[in-house]
Amino acid sequence: MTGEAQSCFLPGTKVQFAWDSTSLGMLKTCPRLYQYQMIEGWTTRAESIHLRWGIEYHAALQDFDLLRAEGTGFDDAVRETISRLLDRIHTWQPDPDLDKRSEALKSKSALVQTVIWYLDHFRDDAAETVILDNGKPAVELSFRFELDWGPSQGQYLTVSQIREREGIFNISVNQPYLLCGHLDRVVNFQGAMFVMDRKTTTTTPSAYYFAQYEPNNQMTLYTLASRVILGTPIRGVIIDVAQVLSDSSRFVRGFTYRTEDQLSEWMLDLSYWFNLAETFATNGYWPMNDTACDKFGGCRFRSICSKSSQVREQFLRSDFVQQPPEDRWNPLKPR
Amino acid sequence: MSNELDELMDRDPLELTREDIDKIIAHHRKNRGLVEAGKRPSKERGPAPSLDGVLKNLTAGLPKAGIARKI
Repeated sequence: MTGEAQSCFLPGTKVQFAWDSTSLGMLKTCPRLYQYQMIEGWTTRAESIHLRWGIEYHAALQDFDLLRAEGTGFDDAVRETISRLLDRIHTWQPDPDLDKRSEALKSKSALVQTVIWYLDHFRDDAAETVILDNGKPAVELSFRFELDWGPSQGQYLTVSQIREREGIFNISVNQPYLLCGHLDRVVNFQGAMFVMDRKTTTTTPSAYYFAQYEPNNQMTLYTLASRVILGTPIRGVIIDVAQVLSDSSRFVRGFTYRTEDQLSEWMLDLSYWFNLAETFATNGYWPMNDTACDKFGGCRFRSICSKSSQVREQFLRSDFVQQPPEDRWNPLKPR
Repeated sequence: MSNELDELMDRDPLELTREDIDKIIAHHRKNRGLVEAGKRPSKERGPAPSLDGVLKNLTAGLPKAGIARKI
């Protein structure tokens, strides 16, 4: 990501106006998690291994999808994908904590292997990349769209409100909320259109694993966004999961569907979440959700939140790294 | 092949030939075939544990070394 993106916060405030599924997910999971990560930029070394591994995995599959959409043959596309991947990761030196299985498994060799195995596994896939009206394949589609309301601190008025107040057309309409993100791929699958999202995990992708996607913030946003971008009904998301094991990788495909009602409800809920986020930001306080600490194998900030509030800052500084503002997660950073 | 694979993976990507990349791909495909056949792949993966890491694991939980008493 580049460091020249516009801030996702209103100038001089902690009020976020540009949201993606990652930042919204943090807020929904725990406002304190959102504070530590989005507002203050605390991160860990392990996070960088998982993040880089995931970025490279997605980039490789994106390369392959684009090459195939351009008409490159399967074997040539695999070779070119691996060549580019090796080039990108050559100087990367992952430094995993070998006591942590999930980190130890995320090696460079495992990355190359998982990409090759994924491509071979889905070689004769029935899912085909959608070609957009502009002739480009629907791969790594970035989306950004405005909502018809914004943070009150941005003194946002809707167009209808402005029209009602005749004579104040000359006031500046301030920042509306933006929803942003990136879709891995949009595909035609057995006569229907789906977003395709690739995930990696070191746990078993069982029915229990897939249950986390219904309901799910990210998958609902992706379905909504794809409908806005493509202007056509999208049924939901195909989730291709790669399980990274000590000496192999395995792949499981799951589906998650969204109805119109579900999308409308999600948007309604979103207005409440954004109001909450603005209230937290205005008060400068993001409360802890202490029922979420054990989710996803345990929150990375659990060791901090379990300390007395007077000493938390000290432990944060010793166990975490605070990223400079330009390196922090920002939904407005282009890929 | 494992040593050769390591050497290929460590080599400057600009020096890798089409054949080198094909060797890497073939190696992983062979491993996939072995796993699908219920056999162990030809190379364990993951980074080799460093000496520091091994020592850290061996000494984890032990009391910190120090001089208990001068004689």
